[in-house]
Amino acid sequence: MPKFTSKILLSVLFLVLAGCSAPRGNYVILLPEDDGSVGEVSVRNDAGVQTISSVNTVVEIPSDKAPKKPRELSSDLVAKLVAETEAAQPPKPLSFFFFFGFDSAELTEESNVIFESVLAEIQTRETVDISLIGHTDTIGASDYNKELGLRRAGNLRDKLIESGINASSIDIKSLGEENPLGGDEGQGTNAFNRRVDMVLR
Amino acid sequence: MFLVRKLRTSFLTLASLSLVFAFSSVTQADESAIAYVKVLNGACYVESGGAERILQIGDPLYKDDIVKTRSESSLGVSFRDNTLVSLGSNSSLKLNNFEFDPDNKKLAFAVQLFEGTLLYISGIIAKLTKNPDEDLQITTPAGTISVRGTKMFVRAE
Repeated sequence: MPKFTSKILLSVLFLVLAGCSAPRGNYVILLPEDDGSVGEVSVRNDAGVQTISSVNTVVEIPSDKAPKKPRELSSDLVAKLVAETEAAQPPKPLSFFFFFGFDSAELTEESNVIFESVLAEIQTRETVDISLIGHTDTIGASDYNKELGLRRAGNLRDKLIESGINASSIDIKSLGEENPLGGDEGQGTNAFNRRVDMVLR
Repeated sequence: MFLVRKLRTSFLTLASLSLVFAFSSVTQADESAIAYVKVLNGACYVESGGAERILQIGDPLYKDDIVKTRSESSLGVSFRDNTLVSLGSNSSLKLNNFEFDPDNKKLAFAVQLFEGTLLYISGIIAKLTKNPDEDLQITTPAGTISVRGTKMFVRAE
């Protein structure tokens, strides 16, 4: 009976140690994304491959052998290992939509309000770079729409520059009528396709 | 009369030229920049085209750059596809390849961690790619990691 107990104790001890021992050398740990979802990672070298798809799981990669079998680490240990690096993560990129009237490159009233909130967000960041993609509805020639999309994005860029954003960190292009929201053929004439998509990084 | 006309022509040429220059200097985004420095603590450097210089917040980064952090230093970078990467102290990372042109189906993200630590949060390339094993690679001295849309921590030595 004591033998049996010590066996259990030993295996418990082993499990605890396995979760506690810090990974060594080259390794990768899979982390949960902010929305709680978990992706998948494969690790390969000349000697083999391992795939991990559960949180706080590590694969160590010896330099002359195949990647080791994945093992789970305690969340405390993971938090300790990643702390310094995670603290330097850039702020999350944000997306905004700006809408325009029919055949117009002038921002609507609502879009001007959104513009103000974008400026407020920019103030909270030390540095920004911005992508603008112009879109149109499917009414009219596609060449004309491509140019209209570019004028929409260009006007928004000019407003940003007037507000003190560095021109070299704003990137613009137009997809014209090629990329209607929702992707549905029948939706192309809708007003919500008269827009510029902004990504603020 | 001839002189006046000539003068006027050259003035016009000059005016339109300066307009072109003004226009291009205002509109030219840095097309070849693949990422920008967003967070910086301590001493961080970039080796670009054989020369090394101190990095500052807001600096653009280009393909083939090697970014480095010294002790008690860290760096946060965002790529044009919204991929976020940060490095801990004593780290060295080469930006081997980056292509983000979804309209022409050109997608590539490849970095090489020589030493140190890296925290990666995937961006749009990871969402769009159909061949993550080829298009999305993080290399360490002992093996290559391919990513299918995720957040992860890598250490290399």
